[in-house]
Amino acid sequence: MNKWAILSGIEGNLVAYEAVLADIKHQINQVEALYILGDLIGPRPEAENLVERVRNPRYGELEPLVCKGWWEEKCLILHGLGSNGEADDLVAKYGGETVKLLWDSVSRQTVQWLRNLDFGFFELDCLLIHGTTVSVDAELTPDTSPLTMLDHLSRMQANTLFCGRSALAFQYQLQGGAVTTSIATLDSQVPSQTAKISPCQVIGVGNVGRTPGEAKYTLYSPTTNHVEFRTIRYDVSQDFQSNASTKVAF
Amino acid sequence: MKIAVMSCIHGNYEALDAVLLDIDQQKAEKIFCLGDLVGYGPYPNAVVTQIRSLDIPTCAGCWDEDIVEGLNSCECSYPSLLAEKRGKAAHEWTHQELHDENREFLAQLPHGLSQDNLVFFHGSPQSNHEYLLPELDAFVALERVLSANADVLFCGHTHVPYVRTLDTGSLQVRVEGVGIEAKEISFSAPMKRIINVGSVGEPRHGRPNATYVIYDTDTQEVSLREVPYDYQKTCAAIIEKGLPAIFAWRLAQGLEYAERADDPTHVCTR
Amino acid sequence: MSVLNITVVAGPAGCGKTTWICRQIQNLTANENVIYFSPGTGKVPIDQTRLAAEFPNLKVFQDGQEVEFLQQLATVDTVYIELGFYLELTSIQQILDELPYQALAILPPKLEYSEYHAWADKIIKGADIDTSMVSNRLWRVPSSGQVIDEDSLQEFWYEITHGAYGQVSRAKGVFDVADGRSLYADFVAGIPATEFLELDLPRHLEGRPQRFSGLEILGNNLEESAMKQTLEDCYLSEVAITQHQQQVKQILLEENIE
Repeated sequence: MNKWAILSGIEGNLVAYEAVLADIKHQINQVEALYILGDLIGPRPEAENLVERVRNPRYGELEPLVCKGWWEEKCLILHGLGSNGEADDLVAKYGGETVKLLWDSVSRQTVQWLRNLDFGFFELDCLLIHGTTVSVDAELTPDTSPLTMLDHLSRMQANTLFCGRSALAFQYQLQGGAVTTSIATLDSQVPSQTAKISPCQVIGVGNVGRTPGEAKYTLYSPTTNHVEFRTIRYDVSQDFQSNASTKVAF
Repeated sequence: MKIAVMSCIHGNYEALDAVLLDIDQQKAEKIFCLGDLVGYGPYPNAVVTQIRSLDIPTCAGCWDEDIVEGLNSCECSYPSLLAEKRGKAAHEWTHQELHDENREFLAQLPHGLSQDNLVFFHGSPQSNHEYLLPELDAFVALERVLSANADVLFCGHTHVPYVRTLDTGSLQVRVEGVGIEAKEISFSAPMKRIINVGSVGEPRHGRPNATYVIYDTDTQEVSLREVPYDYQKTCAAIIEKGLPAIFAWRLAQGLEYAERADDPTHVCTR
Repeated sequence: MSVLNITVVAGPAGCGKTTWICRQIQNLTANENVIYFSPGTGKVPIDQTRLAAEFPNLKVFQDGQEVEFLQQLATVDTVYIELGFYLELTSIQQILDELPYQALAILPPKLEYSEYHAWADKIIKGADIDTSMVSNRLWRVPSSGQVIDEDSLQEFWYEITHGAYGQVSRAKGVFDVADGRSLYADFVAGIPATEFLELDLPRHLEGRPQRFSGLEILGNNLEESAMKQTLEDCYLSEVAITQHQQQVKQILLEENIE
């Protein structure tokens, strides 16, 4: 019992979620925590079933720890419960059909539950969040500048930041670094000192539900700091979305 | 060319006057102002009028924005209930005192200014409420300057001036992932500086003198200027105009009136 | 009948009368019965509160309790009476009548001759206070029932002790703060400042406290209404008190579970 399973971007894909849960079970009692970093819901008709499945784990399954993501934020805005931001970008990016589907797929009761979700989690020296602490929109990717990555880690004094916004599975390790700093004030001069960083990292945890037939998630060992990206292939014939006549382009 | 950069005048007309005189004597060719023209001090209108009449490029400070929008200072900057009450009293007084055309002037101030490789912000490029303290993590400090695509970042907001040099910054990165080829990245940054210009009207360095900065764009030489003036006149005006009388004592001691920048790790989310 | 030891301690403000008495009581054996009486403190019995908190078995008396005090003399071995600078040295006669006592004066080292020298049986060297400052105003305000924001108290105390409200030679107070503790503050001009002292009293986390709190300031040109207003600005509202107390109770509960 020493691993965390970290998921993001289920986006309402129930079949994909079940496939991941089955894989976690195959880890035979090694997983002690299950995190879902936002984008649990998505514009899919079975989104409500997924929420129910997440909120009611079966016997022997872990209780998932869920935090808010981009889709949750947009859903709350649609229902007039958003903290800030508008739904304009939602309409512009995905079209009115998707907005309607999102509206139809999520019950009012679920919306209330979404409202009370945490923004993120801080466990041991790890920050687990959908985007960043600045915004749920913010995307950290392998191309993000090292200083920006370091800034986001520093804001929470974390050594590891798990995020899901980019939908990519990656490990971005800041292995070392130094900068020389000196300060002069009205009354004194602090001589040059070298500040160094201790190793830290940003992990993109992958995406469970967006790619039909393929779910990606992350297993992390806090004691050994080992990161494993799991890719699970599952049968899409059971997947509602890929069989639906209107395909939504992401 | 020599430029003068000042900030946080806070309605202290006497101090502003003395600083403008000093700037003249230093033969600076251009002046920049980093906001907080109003708030706490007894002559907000006179200060705004002076800045406007001299056409000094100015960016918005947190107080300027708050006064325009009718808000109070961010709660996280008040170290105590007492400070918060005093700050709110100052906000209320300034709201009542400020003339409409001066409020409109404050409303159109930009978030930041730039000239060549220099940028000017009240708090930081990210936020007017962020305190760039000298003890800020060096890499975070470097990120702030780089995020503004500049070599020198001028800021205020903390009311205690300093010059910070960040040199030979480097980071070693390794990236890999699913469908992503593993690669090593070596990042390096040339010398950058953060220059905090202190405060003209509400100094917090333990003395009542006004502070500002002269910067030579040719030699990159920085001079932290401390300008004495008749602060007793400001003290008298504070009391006479009905601002919290304790501000007069705190000005004479060079102490913050209410808000204080304490924690270099705190990032204000407002 | 055992011998009754009465010691009357006098001296200028801030020399260390209460501190000396405190040390004497500490050195007594556990089964000795002791009384402390400080007349003239009015509605602001700061020293009594401080000593009662430190020595739970100590019998403490203040103004208005003279009769009880005299009655209790029969039950104790040792009595300390503190004469504040605001009382005449001869006033002790009115309290004690014919009872014998030892007159002790705690004086600053540089004080050469004073009324204390003539009065005292014994002189003890006290704190090196500034004897040149003659203070003409004693300001006292009770704050019982109020809970103070601790950060605000620190700020206010700094202002008082650095001359924001006039020239202060002596300041002391007992305050109830948000997390239920009772704090004792002490300042003497010319003596390096010390931290607030937490009194050994149970945390009060059930609404407004019933115990004593208050402030006493000695100085010149005191801006009393400004100080009163600032003190009131430090008080927490009913809602805030409840909130803080709930938080502290929760934390203590969690600590106990661990």
